[in-house]
Amino acid sequence: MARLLFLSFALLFLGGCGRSAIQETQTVVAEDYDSFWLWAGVKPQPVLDQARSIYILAGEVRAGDAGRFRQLRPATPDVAAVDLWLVVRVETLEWSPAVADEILRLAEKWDRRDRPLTGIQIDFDARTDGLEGYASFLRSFRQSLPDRFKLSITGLLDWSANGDPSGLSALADVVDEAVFQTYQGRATIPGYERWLARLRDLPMPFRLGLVQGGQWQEPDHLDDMPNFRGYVVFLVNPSRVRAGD
Amino acid sequence: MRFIRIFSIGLMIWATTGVPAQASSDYFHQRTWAWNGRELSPGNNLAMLQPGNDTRVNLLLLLQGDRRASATDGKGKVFFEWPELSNSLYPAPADFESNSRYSHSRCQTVDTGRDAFVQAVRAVKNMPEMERDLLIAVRRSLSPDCEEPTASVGGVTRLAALQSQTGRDFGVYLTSALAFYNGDFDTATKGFSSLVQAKNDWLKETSLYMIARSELNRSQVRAFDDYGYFDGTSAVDQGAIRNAERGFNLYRKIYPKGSYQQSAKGLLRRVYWLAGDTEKLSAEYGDVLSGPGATGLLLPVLIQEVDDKLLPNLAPGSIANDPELLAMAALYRMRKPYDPYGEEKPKPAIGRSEIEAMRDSLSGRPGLFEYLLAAHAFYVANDPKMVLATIRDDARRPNYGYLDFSRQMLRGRALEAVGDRNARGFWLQLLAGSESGYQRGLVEFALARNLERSDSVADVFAADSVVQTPVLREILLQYSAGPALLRRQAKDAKAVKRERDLALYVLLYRELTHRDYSAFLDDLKLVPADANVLEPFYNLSTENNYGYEVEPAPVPLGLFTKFDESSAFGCPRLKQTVQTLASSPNDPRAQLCLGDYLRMAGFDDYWLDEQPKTESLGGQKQGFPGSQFSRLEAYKRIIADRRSSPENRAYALYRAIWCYGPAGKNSCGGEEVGQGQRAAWFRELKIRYPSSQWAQKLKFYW
Repeated sequence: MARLLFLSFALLFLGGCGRSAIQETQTVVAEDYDSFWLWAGVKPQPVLDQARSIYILAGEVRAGDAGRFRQLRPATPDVAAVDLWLVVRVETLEWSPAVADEILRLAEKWDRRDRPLTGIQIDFDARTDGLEGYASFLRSFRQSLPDRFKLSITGLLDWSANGDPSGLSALADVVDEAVFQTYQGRATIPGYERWLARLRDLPMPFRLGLVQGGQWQEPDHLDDMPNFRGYVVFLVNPSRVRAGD
Repeated sequence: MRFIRIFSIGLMIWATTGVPAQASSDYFHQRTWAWNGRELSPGNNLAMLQPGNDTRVNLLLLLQGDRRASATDGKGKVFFEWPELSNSLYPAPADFESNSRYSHSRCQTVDTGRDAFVQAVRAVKNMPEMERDLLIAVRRSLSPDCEEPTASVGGVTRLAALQSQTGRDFGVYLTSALAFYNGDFDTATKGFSSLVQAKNDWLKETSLYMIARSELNRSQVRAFDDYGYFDGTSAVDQGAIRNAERGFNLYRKIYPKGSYQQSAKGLLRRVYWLAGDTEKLSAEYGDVLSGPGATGLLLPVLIQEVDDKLLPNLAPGSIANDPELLAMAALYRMRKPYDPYGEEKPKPAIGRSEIEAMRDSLSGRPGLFEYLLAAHAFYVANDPKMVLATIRDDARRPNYGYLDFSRQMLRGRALEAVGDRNARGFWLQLLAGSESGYQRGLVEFALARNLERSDSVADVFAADSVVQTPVLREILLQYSAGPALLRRQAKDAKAVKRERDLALYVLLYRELTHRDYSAFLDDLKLVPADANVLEPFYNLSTENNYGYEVEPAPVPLGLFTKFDESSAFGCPRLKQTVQTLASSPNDPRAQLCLGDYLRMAGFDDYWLDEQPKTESLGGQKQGFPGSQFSRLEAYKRIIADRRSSPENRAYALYRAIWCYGPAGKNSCGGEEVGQGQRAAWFRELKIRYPSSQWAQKLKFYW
């Protein structure tokens, strides 16, 4: 909750007010949320039973790996009644020609009548000055996707502050949502509030990514932002949460 | 501006597993440009065996013998990631696909199984034509889907028409195979079992193999949870897994040259993994790693498997006599305990006596035993003298395999650790034999570090310098070079353009923020007329991410000559501001304008202002004299100075308050002030200068 510091002095003499945007820091408790990332190597937790959406890491295209797609999950997830997203961690956009097909085949494997796949999320740290290029990459990837799959991307907070508007709007045209990370490791990114203040101007539906057990201060006016769609919590293995470090 | 890493805490595991690869890798790409010998940092692998390397990298290096990556692959690089090295040593075929239609499930043999079946049916003599056609047609009608079993029945009902004994046997095989793909392993095992005495040889052999496969699959029905996560050995059907082991072994014994030998041998590894039988598993890996050709798999694929399947369950003593696996595990156990998820409880490091007990097992690899003892002395016991006593100087060879190279690298590090004056000479000698992939950059890194620490940064840039790896030179220019060296590099016509531009950029930025105004004006003349104006430079190569830019970003020198900082406060261009400051450094208006330039051009919280950590290259001391300009401190001075004009003072108050906007965090450097002070500034601006545009514009403080 925002804590407003009214200055009686200023009110009396100036008819205005000064206020502070300093807020309370809270620990992210996964049970308070309904959307989660499940990364490779992270053991599923009971909290997933309450999930409305789950973003499951399925594979990656690593830099230095000749643009190849590698699967990271030994078995196909079998979860119904949630929005299921297949996440691909991407370090380079220079994909070998087979990659888009491989991802699509995997998506079709995940997508079954009784447990439909909502869409694909591309997790790529596009440089802020490269958003237009990223958008055109996504446009061509999207063309290879059947219409029933949505397209989500993860985003960098820096985009909102320093991305040029035409690049951002090109991205907005091609994706259904973007999820912005507010943390680095377990810690909230220092100075993240400055970036968050700019999210209001983002032309696309967005969510904010938190990390389970991490620190989070909800900024002012987030709920007023018309494009804000809630949070996604990155799950970590439980002993880490208890350790609280 | 900073690039923020997203999922820095992901942990990578490989496809066919389900076990957290606690040991090998995660998504940290940050290159710290420091020796990182004992802490896992997967972006920071080095071409020497060390505990902090990815376990896969160490095992691959150990298995190379005298083989080396090409000099071209490692050129310009110091650190690397696992795929860079593995692809360089073992390029995968161009048509590599990790994900064929049915991969990662038992359905991966649907197509090959069909072809084999059709061939076998065709090979049967005396089968009525109608039965032959029927069997082939029915087999071709089957397209089972292991993701959605039970869905597929194909044309099996038509098999009732089969009359001959062999025809009926093949029919039983088909219904059993369909049951297998559909996940009905009881039916499958029963059906295949009824065929092991069949007259047809193909049916006999294949069914025996399929019984074991069926049991293997039965054992893991509940082994993976709804999210595709392996639940561990306790979730595996132990009766079925023992059947599978017996079945594969029986098959291998009865059919030593059988068609499924290779597959049965490979599936036995899966059996041992599911059964949690680490000793058999490690013996099997020792066997296949010494002759990977027989598996049909590339060495890196097998190494990845070792990482996923063997390493997580490895206990001391569970590896037999394989020198490379023993060494990989020993180095792993010298690591500083680290686990991004906290699952791993800190385990004590391996003891020297445990390594000594390996002497005989390691005897097949000369030099390895001493290397492990020396590594233990260096990384665990913190005894570099012991390293020098264990590993003799052998730095004059024309080239090195990775083990011999590791020995000399460790010796060099020990020389540095004891402060030996000959360390530099040692690196120079070693460099001559280190042209192979990833070796040269590493020795150059050691040398650059040595030079930085002995106040000889200029030697790195001497005409005959052997430190040529660009990223190392850039780090030193950014953080360690003083004005004279930067100016020399900026003017050096023989230097590459990027280095020249970077030297000038750093020089101008530091002169501006260290208040060396007249030097700034002189050096500004070096900026070419066609220089770019972009946002402030961010050096991806040295700072972050993947370490090596594909296309280096241009250095925007035009920021110092062409940036337009005009605002409501009415500042002139930067050059004029600095001219004022050169004659009167404390001129309030010029200081406010310098602040406006830095703010508007995007230099708040600039990465160049943050010196790397002491242990990193570039972390020794900044080469520039004087203290750093801070906007907040400049505003404080102007606010405190009662002689300041009302206009300047009102603007300084306004800007000082904005240092904390819009979120309460200072972006102006200098010493923090509390919220009370900001409130006081706000009141003062409003009360003393009510008619100023700055008082009117400001509605809040932060």
